[in-house]
Amino acid sequence: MQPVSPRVVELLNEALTFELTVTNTYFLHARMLDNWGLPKLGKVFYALSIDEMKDADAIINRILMFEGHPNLQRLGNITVGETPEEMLALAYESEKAAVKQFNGAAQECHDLGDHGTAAVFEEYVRDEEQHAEWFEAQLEAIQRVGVQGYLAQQIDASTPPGS
Amino acid sequence: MIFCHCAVVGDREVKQAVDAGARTVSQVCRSTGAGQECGSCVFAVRRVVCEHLEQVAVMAAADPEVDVAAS
Ligand code: FES
Ligand SMILES: [Fe+2]
Ligand SMILES: [Fe+2]
Repeated sequence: MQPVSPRVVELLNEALTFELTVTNTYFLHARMLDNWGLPKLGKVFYALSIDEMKDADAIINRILMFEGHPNLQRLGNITVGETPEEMLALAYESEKAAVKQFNGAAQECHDLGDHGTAAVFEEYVRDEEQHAEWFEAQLEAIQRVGVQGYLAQQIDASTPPGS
Repeated sequence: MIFCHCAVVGDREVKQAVDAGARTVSQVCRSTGAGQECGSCVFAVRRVVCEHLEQVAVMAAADPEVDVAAS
């Protein structure tokens, strides 16, 4: 099936780049947090990484549906937090950037007359808003209880290794 | 925040390089080792260099005692 405009495939590829970038970033953050002894926060980054990968998967399928070529080679810069707080702050910024990017893409698709792809972008806007909201709440919690208090909650000494 | 994965360089090292006198992206890359391999981090390096140079300039304007060139 042909898209109403080649621009639609470009927008989908830009979204794909974003999703692949955060998939990788969150995956690394997850494993670094595990390694630092903070597996509860690590699990959240892990789950979000998988979520973002599923977004990438759906975008790839949509590009193929439009007989376009999904660009899996292009990645944005992977910015790695050196502390848990920095990881949360970076994730918050990137989720907000996603909301902005996908809102713009939805608008462009509406203007081009592709309401189906616009609806897909709108759905992603809501996903990324929820992600941004969660990260914002973590940063607020850190403001309230202090970083030590917050990080103490991310330890899980009850799970034996290898299980 | 690490953004050069080939040389493991982040914003801290880049700012230090600027504070030590580097004024261009290529000078920063040479002294930190960032951007020398796959090159995919150079835009991130440039962003931090520009932001930090701006900040240094603002601080210098606010406090004429601080000599940017000498810092
Ligand atoms: S990421 Fe910096 S040179 Fe490869
Ligand atoms: Fe996503
Ligand atoms: Fe997200």
